[in-house]
Order: sequence, then structure tokens, then C-alpha cells
Amino acid sequence: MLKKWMSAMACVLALFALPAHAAPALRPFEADSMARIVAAHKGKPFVLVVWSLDCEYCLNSLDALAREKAKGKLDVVTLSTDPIEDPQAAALMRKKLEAVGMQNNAWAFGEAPPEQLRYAIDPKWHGEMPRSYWFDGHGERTAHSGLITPQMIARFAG
Amino acid sequence: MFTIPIPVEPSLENCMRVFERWAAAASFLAASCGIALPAHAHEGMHGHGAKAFELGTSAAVDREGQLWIVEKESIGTDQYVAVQVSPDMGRTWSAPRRVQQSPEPVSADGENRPKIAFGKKGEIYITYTSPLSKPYTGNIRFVRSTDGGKSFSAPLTVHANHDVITHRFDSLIVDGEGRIYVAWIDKRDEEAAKARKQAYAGAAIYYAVSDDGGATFKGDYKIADHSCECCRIALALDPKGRPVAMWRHVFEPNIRDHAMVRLSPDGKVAAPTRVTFDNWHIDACPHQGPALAFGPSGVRHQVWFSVHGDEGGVFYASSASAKPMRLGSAQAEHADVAVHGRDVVLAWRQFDGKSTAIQAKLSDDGGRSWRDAELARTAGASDQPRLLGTASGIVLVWRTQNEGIRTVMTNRR
Repeated sequence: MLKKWMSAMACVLALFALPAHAAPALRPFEADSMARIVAAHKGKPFVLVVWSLDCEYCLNSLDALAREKAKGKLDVVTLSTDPIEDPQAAALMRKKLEAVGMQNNAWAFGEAPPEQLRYAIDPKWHGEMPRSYWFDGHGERTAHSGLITPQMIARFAG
Repeated sequence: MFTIPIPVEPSLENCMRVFERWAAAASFLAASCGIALPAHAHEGMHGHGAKAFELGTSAAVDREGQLWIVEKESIGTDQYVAVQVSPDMGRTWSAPRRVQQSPEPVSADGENRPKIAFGKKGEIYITYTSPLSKPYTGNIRFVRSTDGGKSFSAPLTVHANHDVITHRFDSLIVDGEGRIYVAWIDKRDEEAAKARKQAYAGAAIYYAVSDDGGATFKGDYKIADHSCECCRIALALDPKGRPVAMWRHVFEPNIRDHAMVRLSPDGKVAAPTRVTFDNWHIDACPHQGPALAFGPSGVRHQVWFSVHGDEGGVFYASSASAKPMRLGSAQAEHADVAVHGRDVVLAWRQFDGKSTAIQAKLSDDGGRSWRDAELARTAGASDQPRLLGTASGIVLVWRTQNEGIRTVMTNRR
């Protein structure tokens, strides 16, 4: 009982420790992050979309995903290949993600060399974007390169 | 753990390599022991401190055989373009020298990087993309030095169109007559189509020409509508010294293969020729442009990235060969090609799960036969490889985050 109360207290304290206006943080994606994302979604279907600021098809794809997500049907994890260390890029990423309501569960490339991070995601992927991975609830994934359309979302996640 | 690059073929052993390995080992020892090495003994010293996301660097050799690099320099939030020169092919380097008086944003990541070329009288020409406030917008900027790099002109914008739109992914070349050509990716036609509520596939590519040593540019000449939006444009001189452009194009209905056309000084451009046939049908940004070089007899050598079904990779073809040749593994990317007499070198970047190598194919018979070589390797982040034809052969210039600028003579015999 005491243990349970203490852990609840710890949660409350942790909440207070956050700055009052903190936006959900963009998280640095490192070589072990892919496994963590997959583990956190065990048994649940979700889509991981890899995007970059430089890629107009990606922004259109985020818009399409946001519309489906707003209906409460789709669990979306976003991962930008722009460096989280670059303050300008990080600000632009946050702005885009907030505009489409996807600031939760948002990742961006961290400190490791980008080719290592790409390899950790998928050794068969060559960096073309958007790249999306559609996970079913059984740990199987289907990779897709290119624009994400409502039709595609219906096909993979409908 | 730090690994010292070891060439796979002992026949490629030469003084540059010995120096490279020695310098890498020395810098490792120095780093481990907290010793500051003198600059001349530390090949990568000037490269340290650069962030992984701004390693984009170009290199060129001047008439005197000096190796120049052009790179981005960040001081806090201030950004500049800087040059460094090496009189001994990368063994020793001058301190970085800024080319602008005041800071401005500079693109130097992935397919973006400042460019450098030389005029007939040794003038130094530099272009770069300066991003603007809105996503994917930018201007192509140009500076020159007529006193060997002691001073630089104020930057000018190469294009006459000054809309806040995409003018990015600059490429620079000087033709046999000394005229300066700058090509770039431009979205004015896409913006105009959007305003008319019409669809427009991809972007367009444009160029401008200076026949007064970079004092002024004439343009903006359209090369083609419907290029890919995010891939570098390859420029190379044909044996008559005329510039030829190769780029990733969007062919109907949405196939991202490559096109090629010769540029003229007056802006008249023929219809482009399709030069790759992979039928890569995709609505995406590949972020991988091609490379192009011509042999002395006019044979065209090209390398490019494409995807066939699920299998992607880097390919090479020449106008003298029947079939494209795949280069390296599925991880091969960002290839370059250079020709020097009968020597042809193809080099690409390849990650093996642990570290990144520059792998190469070398030919000394104009591309008829090839041998494989690993030219360099790094455990950290790195720029794309650049190959340069020099008087003594073809040199790889590769900037890595851990080691700085590395130079490897590929085919000295």
C-alpha cells in the first residue's frame, strides 16, 4: 500500500517538475529507439512515419495521417530524419507537428550517424521519404515508400 | 572503438595512404592522451567541431595543383561559407577563411553543399544556397575572388526571380571558354500552376550564365519542367568543354528516372534525353542525385541511385557499355564518378551495420575492366564522397566528423 502511494506521489512530483508550458518533447531517436517504439506498441497496430522538413510529400502525408488520427482510429508515431541537435530544424519540426496535432510520440534523429539510424530502422531502406511502416497487432510490419493517401490508410489500417 | 582504415588491396598502397593511416593513428593517440598535435600533423583538425548535419563540403583543384575545400562555418547562430587550401593534397591546410563579410544561413547537409570552381586566370568562384524563412525556400548566392582568395566580392543572387520560393540545390561549373554556369532547382512554375489551381509534377531546373567572370549573370534559363525536388544536379564538361547537366526527372506519369541535356551560353536548350530506365514509380523524395563525367573520347560515365521493385541501389553505366552495373550492397549510396585519361573511378558510401566505408571501382582502361577497393572508413557521421581529377590522378576527398577532411589518391601507380 505504502509502495503504491509512493509511486503515485512520484508521478505527481514528476509532473510538477515539468516546466508549466512544456510542449511534449521531441525525442532523440538513437540506434536502440526502434526496438523501444516497437516494444511500447506490443499487441497494438500502429504506423511509424519517417519524414523530413525537406520533403513536401511528407508534409502532405502527415496531413492525411492527422485527419485519420483525429477520428481516433489510428496510432501514429512520427520520426523526422532532421537532426534534433539543430535548434532551427527542431523548432520547425515542432511547429509542423503541433499544426497537425502530432506532437505526442514524435521522434527526430539523434546523435548517432544518420546512416546508422537508417539501418536500425530498416537495412533495406535507402532514405527516400516519406517512408512508412504499418505494424499489425502481431509484430508484422509492411514498409511503404511514398505519399500516404487516405486510400492507403484504409488499406493498411482500415 | 576507433579503427584505422586499411586498404583491401596492397597494390593501392602509396604515400597518401600511409600518411592518412599515420595521421588517423596519431590523432587517435593524441585524442586519447589529451595531446594537441600541431596542425600539419593532424589531417582532420580543421574539420573537428562541425556538426554531423552540416558536413556538406565540396573540393576542387586549382591551376597550381592546390586543393581547395569549401564548407559551412557556424559560430553560435551565425553561419558563413569558408574556404581552406592545401598546397600538398590534404597533408596541411590553411586556416578557414570566410567568404562573406556578414553571416547568412547556408545549406550544407545531404544533397546541399557550397560549391567551388576556378576561372581561366585563377579566379575563385563559389556558390551556395542560402535558405530563407519558409520551408524549402532559398536563394542561390555567388561570390568570387580575383586575388587568390585574399578577398571576396559581396555575395550576389544568381537568379533574377526573387520570389520567396525554392531556388536551391545549386550546381556550378566553368566551361572551356571560362564562362560560369550555375544550375538550380526552382519552383516558380509549380507556384504559378498552384495559383492557377493546376497540378504540376515536381519542380523545374533553371540556369544562369556569366561571361564576365562572375560580375553579372544572364538568365534565368529553364532547362526543364518536372525535375525531382530534392536531388543534386550533376554538371560535367564534355570533351569540347561544353557543360552537360544530368538530373533526376519526373517522367510521365510519375517515374523518377534521369534526364540529360547540354547547356548553351545563350540559354537555348534542346529537349532532354532520358538516360536511365529503371521505371521507379514513386511520390517521394529520394534525396540522391546522380553524378556524371566524360572520357577524353566523349564516352559518358554516369552513376545514379534507383529502386527496382524492393531492391534499391547505386548503378553505373557508360555510353560504351550495354547494361548498367550495380555497385556495392543495398546500403550503397551517393556515388561519384571521375575520369582522368584512361582512368575511371566510381566511389560510393556504404554502411555495413557498424561503420561507413567509401568503396570504389577502379579502371585503367576507360571502364572496360574494374577492380574493387575500399578507399576509407569511418565510425562516425560523414559527408558524401567527392572524386577529383588532378594532374597526378583521381583523388577521393571525404569529410568525416571524426577525422575531418580525408584525401586518398585512388590510382597512383
